[in-house]
Amino acid sequence: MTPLRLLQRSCGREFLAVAVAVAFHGSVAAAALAAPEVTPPGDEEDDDASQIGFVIPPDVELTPPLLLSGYIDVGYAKAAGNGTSYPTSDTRVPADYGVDPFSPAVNSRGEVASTDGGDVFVNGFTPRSVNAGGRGTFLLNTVNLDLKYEASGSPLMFFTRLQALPRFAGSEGSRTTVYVDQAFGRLNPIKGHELFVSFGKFDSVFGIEYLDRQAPIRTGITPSLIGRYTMSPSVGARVSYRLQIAALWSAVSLNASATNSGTFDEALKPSEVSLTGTPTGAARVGYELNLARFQLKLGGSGLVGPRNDQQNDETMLRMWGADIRIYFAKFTLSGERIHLDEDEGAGRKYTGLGTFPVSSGFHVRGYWGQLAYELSFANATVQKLALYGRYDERHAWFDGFRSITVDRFTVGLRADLWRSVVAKVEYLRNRERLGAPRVPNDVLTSSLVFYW
Amino acid sequence: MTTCAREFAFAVALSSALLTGCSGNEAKAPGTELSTLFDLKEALLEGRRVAATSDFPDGFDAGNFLERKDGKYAVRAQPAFHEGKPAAFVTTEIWIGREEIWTQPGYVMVTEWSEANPFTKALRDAAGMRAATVFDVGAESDFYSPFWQFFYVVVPPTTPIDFYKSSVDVYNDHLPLFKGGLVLCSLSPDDVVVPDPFVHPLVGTTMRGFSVSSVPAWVNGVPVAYLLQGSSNFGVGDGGVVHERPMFVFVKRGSDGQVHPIAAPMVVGATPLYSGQKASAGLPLTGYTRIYLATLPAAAAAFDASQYPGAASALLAAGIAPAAYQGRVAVNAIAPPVMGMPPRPTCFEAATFPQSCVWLDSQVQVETQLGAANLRRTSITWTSPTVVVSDQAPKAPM
Repeated sequence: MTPLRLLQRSCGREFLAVAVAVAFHGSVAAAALAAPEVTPPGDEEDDDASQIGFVIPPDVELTPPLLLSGYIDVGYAKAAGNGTSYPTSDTRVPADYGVDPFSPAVNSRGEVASTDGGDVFVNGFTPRSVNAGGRGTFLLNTVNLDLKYEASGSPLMFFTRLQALPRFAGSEGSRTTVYVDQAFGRLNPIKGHELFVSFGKFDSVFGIEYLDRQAPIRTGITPSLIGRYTMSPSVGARVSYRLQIAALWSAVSLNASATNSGTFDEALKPSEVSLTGTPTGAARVGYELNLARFQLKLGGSGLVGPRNDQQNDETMLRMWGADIRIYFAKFTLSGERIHLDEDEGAGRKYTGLGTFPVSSGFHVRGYWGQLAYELSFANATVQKLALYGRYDERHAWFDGFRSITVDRFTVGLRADLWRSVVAKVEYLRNRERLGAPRVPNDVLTSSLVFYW
Repeated sequence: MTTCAREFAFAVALSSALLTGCSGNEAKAPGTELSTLFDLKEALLEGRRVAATSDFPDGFDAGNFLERKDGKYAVRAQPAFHEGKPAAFVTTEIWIGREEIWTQPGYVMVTEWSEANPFTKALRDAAGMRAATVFDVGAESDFYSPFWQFFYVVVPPTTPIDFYKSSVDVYNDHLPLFKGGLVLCSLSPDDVVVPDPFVHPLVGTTMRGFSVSSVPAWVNGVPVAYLLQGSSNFGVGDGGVVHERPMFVFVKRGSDGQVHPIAAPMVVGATPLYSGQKASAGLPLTGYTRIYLATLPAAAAAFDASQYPGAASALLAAGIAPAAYQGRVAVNAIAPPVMGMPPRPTCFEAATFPQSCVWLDSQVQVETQLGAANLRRTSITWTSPTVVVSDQAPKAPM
């Protein structure tokens, strides 16, 4: 059997998360990430060896044109201290330049336990918050509904993902936001080739962490310390192409997009409109080596465009990154590094959380690395158990301010149950290593994800 | 009068320098910029102007704010009027395009909290040397401002005076903080000085309240010199926003239709523009002001004592120093011409001088006499701690 055929066969039988990944991301790359298991050569019939290109194997059950799927992410989390990264009685201005407000994350959305540091002045470098403070709380993190339409034989696919986010909004009371996470139409212009053109709001193309953005797919719970810069969806156009090179057991891929806001968290850069009039370009080039018992995936990403918190197209944002994933035996090793520079803006900045007075130049150097060990069981109740650990480091500074180095150790356990439930528990050890006051902002969080 | 005339010429030069080509109405691309004492010194050395905007296309001559003196760089006082009195101010920072600026925290180490006089418990070493103040933000930051909200940090008496060098150190040790007063201090190169004596450029009176700190401050672990410019001479609102007051620069429309400067000291406002508020008692809260171009009618003119010796004598007879009126603008100075009649005397030549003139020497006068239509807000704000000086003529020796 050829390597190509092998990949095609394995694609048809992979774990449910793969199907979820494909449906959620509309991305071949997503499927590739979530499908580490490859059938050894020789186990399959070597039929139709001369066939090339991307085709659906005849024994794969076709899904109906209209597919409704979704998940519910319920969690329990408790952050240390007051749930923020601000020291008690922080008098500094702006306070969010002197800490990492994103550290005490509690869920897969990257929301933090709290951003309420008392009477602090902030300048728009803050995440969204569940407003729980330092108290342990149950959370309905996400109620997700996906609708996918793909008529048989048609090169078109339409996909929407709506998410309801019930939150306590402090003095504003309770508030449930309906968030359009994705909404796009996708065209496969050349039948049999993994070439897709999408328009609408879709996933990032930068790096690899965006592939894990949804709770059922992410091995752990919380995003890394640099995920805020690389993971967010935006509105625009995207092209994805993947070419399998059967003779080398390899594949190469290119994902490129032109969007309103790039890949920054929408709390930092709004994605709904281009405030600058010029799109942000992003691309990732990837290489995969897909051997029977060993897989290696490498990628390089770049992003350049105007800051979409400014109203001119001269204030630039530049970012590059590199990523790696290795699947060997029952281990998965993955990691990513980024290098980000943002010009100083002119006047105010416009973020997803409002308008703030100053748009400082900003710089980040960061990386994360994760090792996961996974056990599979032929059991109706427990299919998988995964133990994982991750280390993140983020070195960042606003122009004219002291630089801040923070890091985080994350350890967690994941169990896949009944083919429709994922249970996860995770501990985040946040450390302020340089430039920021040491504060108690570790987090113990958990997540129970029901998906269908 | 010779000295006075020379100093008046300085004021004229200053006004001209400030207002060269100040006729543009088109908006410059929005942006913000801050010039600190470090930038002003550099600009002075390079002969460069600073803070150009559409209102001031050629910017400001750095020599208006600093001058070279004995190998150092001395701050300069700019003449002005405040609430009808002669005054002067010092500019150490200039902002372009900033709608708001904020106080920044400064931390003073004390061994014990004393609300009445916290400085008496300042942390000192055996030789009596005081621990340096810790400032949280340096002059290179977008958020730098010389308006500091002081906090007193209670440390153990045995703490070495150079132990705390940044706010992070303070927070890491979870030390008790007590809110103190508002202080205007500009971070500066270590060769920037206050002239001794520091006198009003027109009146010659000594201006108190300005000095160089004997102990540099810590800014993120680095010692930095700073200039003390008084305390409680600016106001602060919610979120630490520094209150802004207007500063009026007089211009006149020429035959070319454009506005041009007139040689006159500026008027420093006491309250928000058109607020109708009463000026606060005590020190003028004028540490931070925004420049407004005040367009004068054709009849307005600035008083020049050397041109009107009779008026100068009248002032002296009333016990008022003529220099205290030098450059003061009268909105009714020039009587309108009547066809076939010889020019009528100015209000400076009237027998009832100075009451014969309607003076634009206070915010209320500028607002009421010129009207809002003749006051144009600019994008320039600056530090302007103001000292009001006496207008009394020195008594003759017995």
